[in-house]
Amino acid sequence: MAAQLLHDKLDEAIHQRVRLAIMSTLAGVAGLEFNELKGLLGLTDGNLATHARVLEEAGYLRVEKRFKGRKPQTIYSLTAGGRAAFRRYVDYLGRVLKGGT
Amino acid sequence: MVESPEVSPSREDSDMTPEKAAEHLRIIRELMERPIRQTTRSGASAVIAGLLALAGSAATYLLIGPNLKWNIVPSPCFSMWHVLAAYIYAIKLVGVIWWGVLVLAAATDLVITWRRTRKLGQSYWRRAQWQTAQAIAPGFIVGGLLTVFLFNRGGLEYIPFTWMVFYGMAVWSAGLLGIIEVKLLGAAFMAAGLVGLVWFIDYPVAAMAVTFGGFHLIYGVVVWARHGG
Repeated sequence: MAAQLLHDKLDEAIHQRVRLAIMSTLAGVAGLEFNELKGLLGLTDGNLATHARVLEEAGYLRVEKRFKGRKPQTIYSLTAGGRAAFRRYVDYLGRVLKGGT
Repeated sequence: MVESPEVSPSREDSDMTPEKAAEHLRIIRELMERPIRQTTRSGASAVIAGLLALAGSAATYLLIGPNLKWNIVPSPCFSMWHVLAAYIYAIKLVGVIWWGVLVLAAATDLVITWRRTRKLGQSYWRRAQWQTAQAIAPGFIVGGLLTVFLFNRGGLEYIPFTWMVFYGMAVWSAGLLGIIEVKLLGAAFMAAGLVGLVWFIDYPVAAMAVTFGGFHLIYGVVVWARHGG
């Protein structure tokens, strides 16, 4: 029963490996530029954009477009909600680790 | 490019075991650390720092001998005053030399790190440098102030070991953001400084060569071999 309850609290939006990887990478920094994130995770443009959109729609990811000189830049960062969701997920893993299931 | 660590997909949720949770947490931590980790490993800059320190040690030895003490023998041609003035001049020159070593080594490291991270974007570079700067600042500032104090109080022979201890603390702090080898380097410097104060106080120049020269060379080669330059 306890397992079911814990499981219910899992978050669909971040519980996918690429999305979790994006969330984890952004959790340690203030924000990353599209190409930085892409390079760090070894993703393709399309892959990163698709998963980022899911996270953005869930309200976890802030996407800022700006210009650096003439080059457009996309900066990704976690929203407060995103950080909270990430913390919930890590807490959940911590509880499982301690034998909470 | 970099391989993305695997975090298993959602359908396996219901059989999330403590072992799996531990593995996920490990991967998450690695991912969180990765942006910073990438900036704090440069074998090449450590090798250059080591060579600079060896050059600095050699120059110090030539100028003033092995132990920073007054071992210039007064000769009939020079008065005591001349000898004293020459000694003070040489000590100051030694200070300038080590300032030069520090500045050159830091500049090399900045350039090498900049070249490696610039393709990751400017914001990334600035943030990583800012974090590293905050980690090393206390060690460098306190170590620097103590150097001035010891210099003014005539405790010259303590200065090299003070540098080791405080440099070690700064490196250790920077290592918290990066690879394990950085922390080990910091620990080695702190240990060497303390051991040196007790047992090698009469060999400050050799101690500088071994630590700032040798430790950096060993560290640089190890990092180069394990992580690339």
